Amino acid sequence: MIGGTRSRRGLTPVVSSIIMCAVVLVIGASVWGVASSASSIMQTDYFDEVMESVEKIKERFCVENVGYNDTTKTLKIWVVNYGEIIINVTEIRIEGGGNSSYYYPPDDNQDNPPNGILIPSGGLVKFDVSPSEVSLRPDLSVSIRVDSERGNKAYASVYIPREK
Amino acid sequence: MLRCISRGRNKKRGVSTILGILLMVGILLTSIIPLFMYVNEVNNYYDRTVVNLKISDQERSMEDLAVYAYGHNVTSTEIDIFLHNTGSISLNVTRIWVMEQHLNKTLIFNETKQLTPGQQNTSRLDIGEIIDQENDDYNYFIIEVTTTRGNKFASQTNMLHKTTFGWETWTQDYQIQLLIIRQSWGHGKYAIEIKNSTEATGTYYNLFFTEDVHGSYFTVFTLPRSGSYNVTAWIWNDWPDGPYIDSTEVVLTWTRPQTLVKFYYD
Repeated sequence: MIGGTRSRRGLTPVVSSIIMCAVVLVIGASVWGVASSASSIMQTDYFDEVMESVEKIKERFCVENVGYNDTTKTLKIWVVNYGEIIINVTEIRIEGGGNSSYYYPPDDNQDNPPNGILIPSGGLVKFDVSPSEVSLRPDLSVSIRVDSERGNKAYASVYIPREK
Repeated sequence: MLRCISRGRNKKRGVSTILGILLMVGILLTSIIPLFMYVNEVNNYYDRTVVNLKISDQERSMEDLAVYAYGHNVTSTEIDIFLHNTGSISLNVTRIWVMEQHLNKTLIFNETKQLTPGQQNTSRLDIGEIIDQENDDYNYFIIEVTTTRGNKFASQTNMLHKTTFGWETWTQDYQIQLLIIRQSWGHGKYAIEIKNSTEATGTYYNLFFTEDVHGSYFTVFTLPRSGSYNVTAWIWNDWPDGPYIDSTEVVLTWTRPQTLVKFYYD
């Protein structure tokens, strides 16, 4: 009798221990899972942010040359990508004679994204820009700013010589 | 009995604590520490990129290329481009630009040339396509050379002008700088002659007479082309019987277009 009571008393703590362990394990596993996924998300986010910064600082491009078409009153702007990564030229600003004009490659349509022209590493691309607000003429100094999608800029200036 | 119960409770407490600690350690080992290690690795990658970019920017600033452009000959529409890597780093030439001065006409010649420090190279380009046969005023050309690092070097002989009679450079590039050092007190005029040693009719400064000068005298003679020149100077007072100062032979090349000649006179 005494022995039977003892064995019943012994079963309850075991069961409760098993339940406790199971509860601890379930809660622990949940916390573990949340921590793992949070850590993974944080890693991915951080990596993306850093890569974005890296790509921005890795961009290298400049205006290699500027030409002027007297007949069509357009500027020919050659942009070279001398960096290691592809760039997307999204905007060209022309300033001259106190006026500014913006050009959005490839077709100057800013309402129809995605705008921009991709220039691969080592590539040279010519933009024919006909600035609406700036009246191009000889004896005019024009400043040019080329913007990339990542927010980098390249500057150039050109003087359109006077005819002899 | 009491002893038994207390033992049982102690056992249960121990299992939970151990499990909790194990889970905490597990979370720490599999989530937190790898996160810190990963962040550290990404930061290292960013730092390495910054260092590499600084190096490539520095290399870009170290590039130096001397460019000289001349007409190939009097009648030709070809131009000779002389390149001399005067920097301390190898460079790759990617393009040669030839632009009419009003920027209306442009020619791009794709070149792939590697030049080690000190190395020289020559290219011959036909620019007949943008030469105006009727009006020489539209035949002023700007020549520029670009490299893979994004540098652009203008020709030191810009602008190059094609005339009916041949080619001429905008800048008088070939020069003999003559310094006559008078070591005694006095004044006088000098007679200077510069002859091309290889051309029979190549006397460019046939007895150039100076003003009456006190002490030493310095002047610069510009010449149309490279070559070997003989420079002679006299005291003009009683020329040609007047005192002869000195004579020397100099060579002007496109890599060394200027030279200094010193004559001493007592």
